Amino acid sequence: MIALKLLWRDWKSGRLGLIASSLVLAVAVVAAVALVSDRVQSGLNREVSSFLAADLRLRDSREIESKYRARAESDGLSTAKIAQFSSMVFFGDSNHLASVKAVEDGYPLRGQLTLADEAFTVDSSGWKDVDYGPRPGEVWVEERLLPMLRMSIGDSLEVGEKALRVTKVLIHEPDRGSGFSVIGARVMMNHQDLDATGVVLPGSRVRYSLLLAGEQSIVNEYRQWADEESTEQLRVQTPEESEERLSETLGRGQSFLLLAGTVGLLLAAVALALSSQRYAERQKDQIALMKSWGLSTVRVRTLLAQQLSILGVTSALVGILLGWVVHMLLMWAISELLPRGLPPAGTAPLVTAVVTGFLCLIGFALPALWHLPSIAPLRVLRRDIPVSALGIKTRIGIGLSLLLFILLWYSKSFLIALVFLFGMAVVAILLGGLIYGVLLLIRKIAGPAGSIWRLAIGNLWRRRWPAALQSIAFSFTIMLLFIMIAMRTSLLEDWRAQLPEDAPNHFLVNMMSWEVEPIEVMLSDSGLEDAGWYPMVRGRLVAQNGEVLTQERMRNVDGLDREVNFTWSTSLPDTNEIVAGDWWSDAGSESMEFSMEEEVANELGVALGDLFTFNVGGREFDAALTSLRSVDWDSMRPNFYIIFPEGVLEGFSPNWITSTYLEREDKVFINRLLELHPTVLVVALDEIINRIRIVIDRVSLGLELMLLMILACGVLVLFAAIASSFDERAQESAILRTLGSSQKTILGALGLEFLFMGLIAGTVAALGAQLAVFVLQAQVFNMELVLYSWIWIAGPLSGALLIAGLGLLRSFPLVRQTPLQSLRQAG
Amino acid sequence: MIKTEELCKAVNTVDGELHLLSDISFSVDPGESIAIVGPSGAGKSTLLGLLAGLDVPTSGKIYLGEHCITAMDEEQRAKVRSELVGFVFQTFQLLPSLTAEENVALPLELRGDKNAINLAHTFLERVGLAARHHHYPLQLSGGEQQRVALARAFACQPKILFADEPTGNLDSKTGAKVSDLLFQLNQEEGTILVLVTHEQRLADRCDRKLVLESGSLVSKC
Repeated sequence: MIALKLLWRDWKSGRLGLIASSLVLAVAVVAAVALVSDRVQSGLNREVSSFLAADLRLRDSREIESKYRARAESDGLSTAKIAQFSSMVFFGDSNHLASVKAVEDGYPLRGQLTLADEAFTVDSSGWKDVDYGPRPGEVWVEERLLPMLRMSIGDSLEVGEKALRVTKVLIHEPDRGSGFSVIGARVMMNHQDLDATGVVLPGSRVRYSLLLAGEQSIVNEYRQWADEESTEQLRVQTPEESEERLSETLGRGQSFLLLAGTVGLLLAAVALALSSQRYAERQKDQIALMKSWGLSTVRVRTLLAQQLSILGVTSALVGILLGWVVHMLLMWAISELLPRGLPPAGTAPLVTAVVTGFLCLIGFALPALWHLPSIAPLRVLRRDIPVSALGIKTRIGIGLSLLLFILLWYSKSFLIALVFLFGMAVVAILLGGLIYGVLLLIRKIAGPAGSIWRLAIGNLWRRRWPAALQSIAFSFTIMLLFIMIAMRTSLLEDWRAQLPEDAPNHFLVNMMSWEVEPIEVMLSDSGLEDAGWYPMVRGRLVAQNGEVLTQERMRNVDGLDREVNFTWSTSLPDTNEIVAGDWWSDAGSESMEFSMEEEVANELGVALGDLFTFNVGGREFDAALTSLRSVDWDSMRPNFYIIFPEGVLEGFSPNWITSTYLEREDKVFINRLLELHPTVLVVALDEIINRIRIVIDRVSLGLELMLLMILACGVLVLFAAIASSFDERAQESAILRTLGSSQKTILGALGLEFLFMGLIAGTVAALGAQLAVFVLQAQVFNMELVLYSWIWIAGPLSGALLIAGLGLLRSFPLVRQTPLQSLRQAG
Repeated sequence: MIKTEELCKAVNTVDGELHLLSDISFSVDPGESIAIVGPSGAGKSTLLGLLAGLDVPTSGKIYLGEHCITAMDEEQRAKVRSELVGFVFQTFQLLPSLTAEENVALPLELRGDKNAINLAHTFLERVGLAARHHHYPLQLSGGEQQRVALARAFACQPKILFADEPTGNLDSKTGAKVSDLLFQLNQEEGTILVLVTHEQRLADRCDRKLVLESGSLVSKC
């Protein structure tokens, strides 16, 4: 087949190298991203599912109607029922208001329970992960219950009328939830024993759940059906809805992966467009010659189409292979962190990669080659015959449209697609204008004739439009890499800030005023830091400026629609900031004022100075709103919607709350604390925090590896851009050397020329990157805007060094060969 | 075999219509060789382009064999070129990415000739370059490159060979060798040779000379 033969000869001559590598990289990047994303996502979905112990949860305050289970079972979904309630549990003379959870066999449907044989062991090697619940007659308890009730493994715990033997310590349960609702120690029992306890009676406050798991599509269908069927009380929850913060983290991770993949693809596409342009230039003579031999336009077009198809298929295959290898490497790198037995990748990611490869070929290579078949055969005699190639505007238009299509296809977000195109347009316009202005300026200060400086400026000026175009490509690459690095840094810092290593992981609540001092001493004696002590008094908002706050009005005010904890403080808590009004200055001020959290204030619709009526323990009093606070809810410290000055709540006996950070080996402190202060409730969030941190680590490691691939694409663009002016430079260099210029002069001039281009491209890239990052932070990732000073130094510096370095590296062959060789090569 | 009737070629320029060729009529018989000579800008290469069907005249007719190529569109002319015409250029027009052998074989392969490589070998042997068939153009001297171009042109066994300044890029000694080869092959293959040249010695070796001046035929001796 002649097309294959021609293609092979082009490949041997090195003409196809850049086009093929660009295409291979485009396919590989997409394949790797899609494969990793597909597999990790399904793995993480499973992990997230474990936060609910199921793929879907139906929850109601009444027994869940049997039709829901019947339908699930007929759909082939696995099911398990749970009943949760608070009940006093007894051991000898001791008792505790425990949070009891009765689970059916089959629980947990997703995730695992972690068990231990003794409480507060430092060594976790004795822990065991299991995927079943306690057997009938057995009970598993949270470790803090043992010191509280002074009991041991093997003892019998009374739950209502039923005595159940404690067989294991429950370290972790997947669906414990990160909320603050579970205050009593967990007691997990088998559902079959529930009736025998006699604690669940008509009117008892019980939370009933039906867990469901199965194939995603069936679960989705079931969910639709359940949503339609469900009453107001019945809540249908997915794991993501149950763990909003984790979902947000995963969402960001996915957005970043998508961003990384798209950046890689864009870079490969730019490289493809540039290298195709050069390929087309070099094909002109060959096509003209073929046509002079009698090859028709149609035949030439067919030959080119066959060549492109072969190139597309081969590159797609190699790209998929490379993408597969990269994906395997990525999976291997994070294998320790991933759940075992990830499902194999489906064919969808590979199809996406191949389609993308062909779209790139059509959008970025084909426009550059489109005119080749219509080249006039007369060109063999007259090289000055104009070739009517597609205009640059048309080609940019085709490229941009295709890019927008691909971006929309991947992200399904018009905003992300537009932000990208906007960033590119800004750089193109800025750079085009800027480089022209700078060239005009420096042209006037060109040095003496024959100097390196003058040669470099002269070269740049003569090639000002191609130089501007190349600079746009350089700038584009640097900008995208910076966006990647900045967003990665920004995301990681944001995540780390959310969960610092020493974030308090245990809350101590229900302490009387007289207990505060001795517990404070106990904490400091054990070398533990408290996160501040806050008194809590339960109360509710009754009226605003004399107008009663009805239930209907309070419905949208999430957090204040029920009885909540008020506190008092003389100083503003560390993780709060005043956003309006003033914090009371006098310690111990007794003025009737208070401070409100800004989000609920917005929901409620308040103004500073508004007079609110509060009801605490049946007594009503008025206080004026004097400040609004922003609150860092992720700080894992006690936070409050409403804070009063000290003295206002005088007379109401408060409970105190604090939080502290406890290492696993320090957990024995809880044992001592509960022995001395048995009424104190300790809420351990360490397991939940650890799990969230593990997920975050997994996501970020994967993202770092992705960055390496993107860098490879960036270097390819730089090579393609330098190669695109190589032929012209070769000819000039040959002429200059023939005329007596030294290698040093030519290399110096080339170096300066590239250095200039790099400096300008890098500076504008820094500007574009900072702008694009602002937009992404604000619009896509919902993060605070950060100004990156390093971008402004790294931009010009990396641009100049990278481009001058690569440019000179690629230009060495120009001066190494003899002038005669260069002249002959230049034709 | 080649016949032109009142051939004219004009182009539009900013200064108005420019006549490159006016009223050119002549004919060439099978096996005959003619040289188109004249000063620079006389219209020699324009005439060659028209005769080879690479360009179209403003008016007049051209016959190649039995085909009136001026009545044809580009696709039809391409077919005629593939059947009848071969070329040799001043700048050799070898493809730098192909070896000598591949350069010679390419037009044959494009015709679907399964024996292309063997034929290429034969013709490279005939031009004295059997040992250089795996060399790339850049590894060959100017004379050798033009010999490869001759092998490529004759391997297709054209009825008419158009040569545009075939020795123009070569020194006189090498040029002489190349022209010897050109005429030898021409004689052996019985091809019509139409060559454009500045060189008197080369023109003198042709059966006839067409002298052009300012686009007009001033002599057909």
